[in-house]
Amino acid sequence: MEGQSLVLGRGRVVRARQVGLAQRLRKGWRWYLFIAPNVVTFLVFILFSWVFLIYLSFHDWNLMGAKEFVGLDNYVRLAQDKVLRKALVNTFQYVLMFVAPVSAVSLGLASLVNQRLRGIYFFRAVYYLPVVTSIAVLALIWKYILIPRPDGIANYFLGLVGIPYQQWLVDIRLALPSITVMQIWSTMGYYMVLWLAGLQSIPEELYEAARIDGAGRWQLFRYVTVPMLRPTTIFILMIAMIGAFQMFGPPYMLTGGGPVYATTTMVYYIWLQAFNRYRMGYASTVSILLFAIILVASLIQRKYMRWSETIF
Amino acid sequence: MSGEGRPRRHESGYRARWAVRTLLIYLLLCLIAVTTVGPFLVMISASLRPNFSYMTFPISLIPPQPSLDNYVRLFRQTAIGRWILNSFVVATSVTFLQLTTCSLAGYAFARGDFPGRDAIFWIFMGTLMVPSTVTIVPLFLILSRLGWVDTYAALIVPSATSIFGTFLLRQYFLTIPRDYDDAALIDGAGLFQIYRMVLLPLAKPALATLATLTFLGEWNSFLYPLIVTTKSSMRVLTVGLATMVVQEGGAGVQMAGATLTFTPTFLIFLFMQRYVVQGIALSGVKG
Repeated sequence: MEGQSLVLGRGRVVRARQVGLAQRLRKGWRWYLFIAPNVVTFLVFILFSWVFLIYLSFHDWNLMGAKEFVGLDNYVRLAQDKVLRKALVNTFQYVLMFVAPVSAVSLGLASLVNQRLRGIYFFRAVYYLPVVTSIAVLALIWKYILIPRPDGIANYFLGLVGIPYQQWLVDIRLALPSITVMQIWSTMGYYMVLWLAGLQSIPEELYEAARIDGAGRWQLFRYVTVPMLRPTTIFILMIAMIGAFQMFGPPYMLTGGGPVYATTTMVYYIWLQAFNRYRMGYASTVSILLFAIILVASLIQRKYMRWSETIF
Repeated sequence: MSGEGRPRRHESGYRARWAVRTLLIYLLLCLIAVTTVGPFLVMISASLRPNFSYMTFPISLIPPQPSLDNYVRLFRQTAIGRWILNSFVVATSVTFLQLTTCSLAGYAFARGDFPGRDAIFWIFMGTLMVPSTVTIVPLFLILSRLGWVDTYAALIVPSATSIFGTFLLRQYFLTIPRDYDDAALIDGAGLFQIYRMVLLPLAKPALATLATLTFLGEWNSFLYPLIVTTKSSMRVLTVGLATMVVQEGGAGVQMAGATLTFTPTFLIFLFMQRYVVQGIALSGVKG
């Protein structure tokens, strides 16, 4: 008896829920019109892109003939591709050289401009200027500054401190570090604003309480600022890293991925395969690899940041 | 020093130390400012010099004989007039479309009651952190199948909506008390009228933020317009600049092009600075 009534009861609930759904649909269907443009562009340009990406990775297609199903050939090629290996190494090197320094430099900037001083808004704006400028413009400027001639601007300043002139972007060892420095310079204002928002969300009372307890300048930073900035830190490291894995503009504008592939990044290699060699299938497979790397790196970082929670 | 109240012990020493500290901070601030602004000054300076000349020593920022020759040459030898037009058409269209679609969707997600609302919203949010460069190859192929390569449609339509913008406006609409909606509802307003007459006017700061960020983002975007256009006449300014690197050897002409590309974003930043910084900070805090 009891079991039966239970089943009956559950049936009623389901029916009631269905009636509720029909009613909510009848009452609320107009709302779908409001989100329709977003849903349509999402389905066509995002969701379908992903499905198509996976489909393409199992095919060989140069845009001219028909798509040819090749099974896992593209994936096998990933393992044998020496240039891809170089691109992977370059990309990881770049991520390592970029993420931590840009986060540190921008935190320093943020602390510097987080003071009540006359004209501080002017300085904040000035530091932010490269962020609102296109990478195409920034790359051209830096190409001019880094001209590999003794009378180039960067070399002029090196000369002032007695260092012999450098080939910069043409030098196989210096090309990627040069691009990294340029990228740190051009994005530090962005992270500065994020750090600043984090710093300003820390209640002043915490500092006062710590000061009453006799904390010095360093202790305030170590035991109040650092733990309170945790969410900001996680966010900044995450987006800096995801962005760094996708670096493309500078190698395209400045070096053409050279010299001898020294600045060929993952995205530059994808562009090269797809839009220069017209290997759409293989370019898609490299794209999937890039996505997998970013995903794994994000997960590792999240895990690491959770673990470090116990320290703070 | 007069009128400062009772002199305290060590006050003058403390003040002197404070003054030195402030001076050092300003010195540091100025030094960093020189490194961020310097390259832009170099750009403008180089654009006013003879095309193939480099800096003379010691470096003089103000050219000895400034001339606009490089700009004249730029307009004669490249399609830069057309590129500027394209950039303006694309950036303004995308901005206008995003303001419309994002505010409509943001309104639905903030106020609507319909099956699947939260599920759809969270699916959207889930793709916010997904790197967009991963799908450039299939995206290009979809657009080429639609016959959109080298058209404004390719440059505009895929950017006509934005998940970030929808999220931004939804959050803003949520801060507006529902009493406003209810009052309008009692006056006989429909869903669209509440959106148009009540919520949109109240959301002006959020709309200004989204408009500024979108315009700057579109004006500056590079990889996407690079892959969906092939003809010189359909290039936007940033991509046109990149092709100039190969075709126009002279640094003066390149710097003139860079200066022209930079100027609109600089002006927008100058006047809309508050909204840019607010938008960035907001995107960060919410993560």
